[in-house]
Amino acid sequence: MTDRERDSLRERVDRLPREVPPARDLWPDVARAIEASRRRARVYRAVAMASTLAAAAAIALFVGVAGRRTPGHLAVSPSVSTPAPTPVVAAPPPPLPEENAYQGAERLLDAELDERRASLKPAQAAVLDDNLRIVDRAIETTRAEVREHPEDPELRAELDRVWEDKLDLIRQATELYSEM
Amino acid sequence: MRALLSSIAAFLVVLLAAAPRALAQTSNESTLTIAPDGVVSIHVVDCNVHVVGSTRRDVKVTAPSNDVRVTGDGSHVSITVRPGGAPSMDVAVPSGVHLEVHGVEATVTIHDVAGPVQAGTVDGNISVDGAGHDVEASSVSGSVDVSIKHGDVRASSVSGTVSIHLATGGAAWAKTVSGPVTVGGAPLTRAEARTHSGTVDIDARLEGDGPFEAHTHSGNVHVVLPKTAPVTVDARTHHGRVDNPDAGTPAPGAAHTVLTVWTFSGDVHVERK
Repeated sequence: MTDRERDSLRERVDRLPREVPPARDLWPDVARAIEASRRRARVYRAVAMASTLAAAAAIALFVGVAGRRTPGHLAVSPSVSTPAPTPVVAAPPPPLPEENAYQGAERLLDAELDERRASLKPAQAAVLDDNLRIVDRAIETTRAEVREHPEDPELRAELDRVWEDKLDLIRQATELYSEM
Repeated sequence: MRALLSSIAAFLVVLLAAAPRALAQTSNESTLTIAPDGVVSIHVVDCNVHVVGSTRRDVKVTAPSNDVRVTGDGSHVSITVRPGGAPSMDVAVPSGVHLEVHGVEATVTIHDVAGPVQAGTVDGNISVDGAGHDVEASSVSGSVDVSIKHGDVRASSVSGTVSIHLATGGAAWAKTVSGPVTVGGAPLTRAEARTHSGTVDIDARLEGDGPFEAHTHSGNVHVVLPKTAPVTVDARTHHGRVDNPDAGTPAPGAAHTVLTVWTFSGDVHVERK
């Protein structure tokens, strides 16, 4: 029953004459109505309890599903080729004079990337650091070869490329992390 | 006993009655009109995005949550999902829109969007297919896979796989650090593939001046070219081996089409099929 219906019923009841004697004994009907009302109350309690259980089950189901949501967006481990043996370098050789410009650019870009690092999750920082190490190793091995073969233009071109890759990597990571 | 049975029956009735209603209520839709060449920008965190282009004239966003913000003015529609806002989202757009998607911990799939596409994610894979033309996609720790009919594609990752396939040709630029790179299609008028510790695979018909380059530092390079393609392969390695049937014999008529292959410590294998 709506509030409007309830108010209308009250108004009509209020308008009824109050001195009319009952035509018969009303108590048995009232008692039956009370008992019926009690039965309905028991059913309502059962329904309420069932609803509560259903709600709890639904919440548990939702939490379970949400918790199990597979991280489909996470990349699988990259299939990295088995590289041919890379020359072992005992100690990193010092940078060549022509690397100064790259190192200066790296310092500038690193400062910008470092500002983003605080917002990275450990796994994200690990991915970045792992790949920076890969490029650093490439720079070191190429640098060592350039020192041994200073006249080889291909090696010098490779040293330029790996440095440009490192700067690109820092730039790309900074740009994508800035969206976080 | 009767009360217990009543409770169980009531529980089942309520559960069955409530389940479909609950499911229906969790899916929310928003629709905004947009110009056929308008801009659609999507920024999401922890939400997988699926965008589909079609002949429709509006942008429809469907997500299992109402915590998705959609705003627009007819020429630009912006869609934002905050962390925890929605686990996934479907976006239907007019095919010709300019689409920009930026995600963190988000897988992005884009199908049949013919307008310019720019997609970037931090943790998540990107996949673009169908009617793409001008695609730029990058990820930090996810794979990037672009497979369209024809177009100009720039795809990059840091630790993931990068793959470009242009069925009827175009230009491909692919780069990653520790993942493999695959480039294919015909005819490609430009193809540049670069990785550090991954492999490079090129299976394509090359035409024109390029540039055509495949570089890796410590990975191997595998090139497959049509048997009679007038392409000269200039393959070199510093510490590895080169298996190139074309070595020293430039293909006839290939004066301008040269594929340069370089690996510092990997092997190169060139194949004609």
